[in-house]
Amino acid sequence: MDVLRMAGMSMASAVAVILLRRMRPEMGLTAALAAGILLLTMAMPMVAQVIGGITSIAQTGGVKSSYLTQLLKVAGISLLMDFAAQTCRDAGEEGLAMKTELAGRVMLLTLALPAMQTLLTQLLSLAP
Amino acid sequence: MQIDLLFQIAGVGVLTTVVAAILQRAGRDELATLSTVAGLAIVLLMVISLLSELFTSVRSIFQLY
Repeated sequence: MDVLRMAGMSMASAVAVILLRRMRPEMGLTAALAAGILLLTMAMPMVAQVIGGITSIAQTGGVKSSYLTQLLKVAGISLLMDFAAQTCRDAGEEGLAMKTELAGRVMLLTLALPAMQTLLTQLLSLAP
Repeated sequence: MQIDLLFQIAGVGVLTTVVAAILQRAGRDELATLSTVAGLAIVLLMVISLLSELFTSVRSIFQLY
């Protein structure tokens, strides 16, 4: 089953990364990055299924699809930004990791802005 | 699935280290650093191809156009 493959792969890549990190620190980092990428690509099909299921449930539940795509975008951006920030942290660049996370938060905010505006206008329209 | 890619990267890393050590022992330090840089470039090319594959799949799943 997939979980065995993933667990085995992450352990094998941990051993490979330790071997490389001792000899060549930069090689160790690229090996760790490659292992992370491989694991994520293995997990992506399952994520796609989960998201398909959620979108179909939301559609039957009457949720407008534009909000759903916004939500998916937020999830994707945070996933990628977190991945990049952790890679920087893995390389020992704490400052760079913090800046990447800051950039990610700014992007999330710009994404959430239109939703906030619609919410505000609706609230104001309620007020007498 | 692509586990062999990971071991290819580890192999290239070990090979470049060995080549650099040999070149250093032979007294050619600049060649050693050159071979390290070359090995790193090869590894980075592999990682970049993996990265682009991951990014396209994430973009299609999360509709991040």
